[in-house]
Amino acid sequence: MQSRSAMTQDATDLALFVRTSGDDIVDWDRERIVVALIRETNIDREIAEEIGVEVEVQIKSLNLRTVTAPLVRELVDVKLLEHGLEEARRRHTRLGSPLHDVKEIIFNHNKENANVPHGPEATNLTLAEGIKKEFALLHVFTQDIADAHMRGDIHLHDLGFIDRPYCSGQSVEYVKKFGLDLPNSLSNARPAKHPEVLLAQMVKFSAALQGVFAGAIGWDAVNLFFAPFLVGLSDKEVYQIAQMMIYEYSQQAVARGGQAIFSDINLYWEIPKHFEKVRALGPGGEYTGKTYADYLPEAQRFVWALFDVYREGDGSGRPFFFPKPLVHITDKFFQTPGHEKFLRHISEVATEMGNTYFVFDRGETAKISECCRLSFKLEQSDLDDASEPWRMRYSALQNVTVNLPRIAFRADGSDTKFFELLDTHLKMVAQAHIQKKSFIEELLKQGTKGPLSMLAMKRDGNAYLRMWRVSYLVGILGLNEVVQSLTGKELHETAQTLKLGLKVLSHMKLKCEEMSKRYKMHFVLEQTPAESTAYRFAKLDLEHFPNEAAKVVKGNKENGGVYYTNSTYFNVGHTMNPIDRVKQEGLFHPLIDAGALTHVWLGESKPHPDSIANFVAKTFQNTQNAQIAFSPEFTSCNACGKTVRGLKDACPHCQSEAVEGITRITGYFSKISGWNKGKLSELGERYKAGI
Amino acid sequence: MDVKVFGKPGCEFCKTTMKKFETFFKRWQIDPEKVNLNFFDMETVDGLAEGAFYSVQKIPATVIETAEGVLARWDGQVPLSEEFRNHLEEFATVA
Repeated sequence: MQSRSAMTQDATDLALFVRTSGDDIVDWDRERIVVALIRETNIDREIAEEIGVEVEVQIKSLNLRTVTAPLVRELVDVKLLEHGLEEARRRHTRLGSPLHDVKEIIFNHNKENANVPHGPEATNLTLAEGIKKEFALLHVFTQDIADAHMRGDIHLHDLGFIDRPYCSGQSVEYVKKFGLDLPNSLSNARPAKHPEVLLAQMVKFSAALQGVFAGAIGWDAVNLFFAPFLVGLSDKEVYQIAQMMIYEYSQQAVARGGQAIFSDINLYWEIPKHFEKVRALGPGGEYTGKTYADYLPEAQRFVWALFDVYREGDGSGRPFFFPKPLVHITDKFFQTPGHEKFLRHISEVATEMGNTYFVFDRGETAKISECCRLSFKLEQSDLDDASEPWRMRYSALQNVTVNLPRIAFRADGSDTKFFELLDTHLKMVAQAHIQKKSFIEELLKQGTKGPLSMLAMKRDGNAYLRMWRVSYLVGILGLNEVVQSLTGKELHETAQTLKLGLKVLSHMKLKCEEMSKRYKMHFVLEQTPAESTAYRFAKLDLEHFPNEAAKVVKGNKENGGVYYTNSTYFNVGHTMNPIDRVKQEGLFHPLIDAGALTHVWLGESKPHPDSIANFVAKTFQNTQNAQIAFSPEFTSCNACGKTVRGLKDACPHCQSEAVEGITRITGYFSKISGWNKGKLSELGERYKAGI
Repeated sequence: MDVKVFGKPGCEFCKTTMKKFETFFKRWQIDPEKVNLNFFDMETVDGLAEGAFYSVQKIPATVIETAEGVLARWDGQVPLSEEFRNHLEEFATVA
């Protein structure tokens, strides 16, 4: 570092002040440029000094009284480029947003994620995400991967959350056993003794987890693990706990950017086989002396009460957006007494409010669904873990989606070329995952003193995030447009196109298995929710492949509301009997290891609960479909507070136009006003039907 | 008519199923122009895709179908010759 006297001597004739990034105004000092260049880019001092002089001369020639640190940096960057030091320029880049963009962000609603409200916390999130996204593309990923993302060949999801894994599923048993004892928390709580306290701890733990994961926070067999705390409670008291649980999750605006916690609760009518003989943990984190099989009555009363609450809806009769209830339908479900009545109960909620997700676990498969599309088949080691269910923690580290239609455009009608190019893209996806894994591991190395302290804590001997068990998601998007581009017909149109779609998926699945062996990482296909990616890819392809894309892109090309069909879905607008859709879309589901879903868009129709129950039973017995959800539409009036069925321009009760449309955007309910243009077009084209 | 057998290379019952059909095709002298017999290896892309199309979950799986649709299918078991004979009879040249 140059001495103060030397610096002053150099800068006297400039008499300049620099506004620094450290909230300070300091005298001009050329040496600061030199030091920063050497520290950040590793270039020789000689070149750094040369650039320092050049920048000083330029600033002097501009006759400025005050300069800002960003301006100096921009000038230095230009000089680096003039010296042919592109890599050094990349390393020296300043991350941030232009003034105009920041104003836009503060004033206007960001619609990339319909779950994010518009407010100061949300704009903080958007701005921080912007910087972290730039950081990820410059520092975490190599340039070829970053460029592939920028071009739209692949989509690296949640780049703004680069320093977090994607999503997490866990067991209430963890909270029951260890209480709420988190690194860095101001106070620690011992294991709960009362159901209300257990609930409070679970919700707070969810909020804390949301701070270290980018996506959903899921909980396994919630009604079962709460059961030991509900013994002896009256129906009214059980209902109260159920009501508290749903309101706590749906009203907490504590997650990223003031969102509600993106939460899933997995529920069972029966005692899942793998938990039958497991010793039950009760109040105070102590074993009760019974096994979970003994708690069937309490578990059933609780899950029934939860659906009573869902049926009622919120204070305005609207459906609760979170937590999403996933009911597992298994062989044992149909053998468990009372299943007919329960199926009717949850079917009533499905038709009236839409909340229920029906997850089908056929044969010996046990799954934990962790977010709208992500579920895991439990392997033998997991079934061993089941004896101590707090160990059952699962995570996906990242999701990378392939722009499949673009590959078809590049293949120019040739299947062979398509599969060759697909392999190249899948290799790129693997590289992207390896790079993110390496970055997360670097953060985790700092242990409980580091930024991911919560994931490094070892309450049960293992780090909370069990890196050896995480999955790496390979997202599918626009399969329908792939076959349409290659054959001229859509997936649903002929057996040949359906088979071609299955061949693409089979190819991807086997490639994932091959890459899993090679890299010793668990790559799995996922039906990407693609809330914004379906729009982004379609928009980019219309720019870069206008002729090819125009033939297959869905939506409104005039107003830019374009989209690709999500994942392996059929054209959403195709008039198709729901049972045929469920059956045929379900053919893809066994190939998608990370879980899949078929939507039945109900619109205004309201099938009889018995019809829904019958539909669900038939889907379980006669199809391979992994999961279904029924999605009604609602209009909620902000003036009179009433909620009605269907999407209306004005409230039928008070005629106010201050109304809010509500339905599922992808895997979750949200307000339509927050949707992007692509999804709005899709909504208009969805074929809605009763069953 | 098509007879499709779905299996994996390491599955002995799958091999048995295929061999059984080959044996009876020879014995009954089934006209290969009229009945296609194919094995689909579920560890290959084409086999897996075809298996997915027929919702094959348990191997060996066997499907007998015509353009009109599936006449018979077996999942997770080796079909008995008596069970498939009646479907193939009309193509047999030997009683």
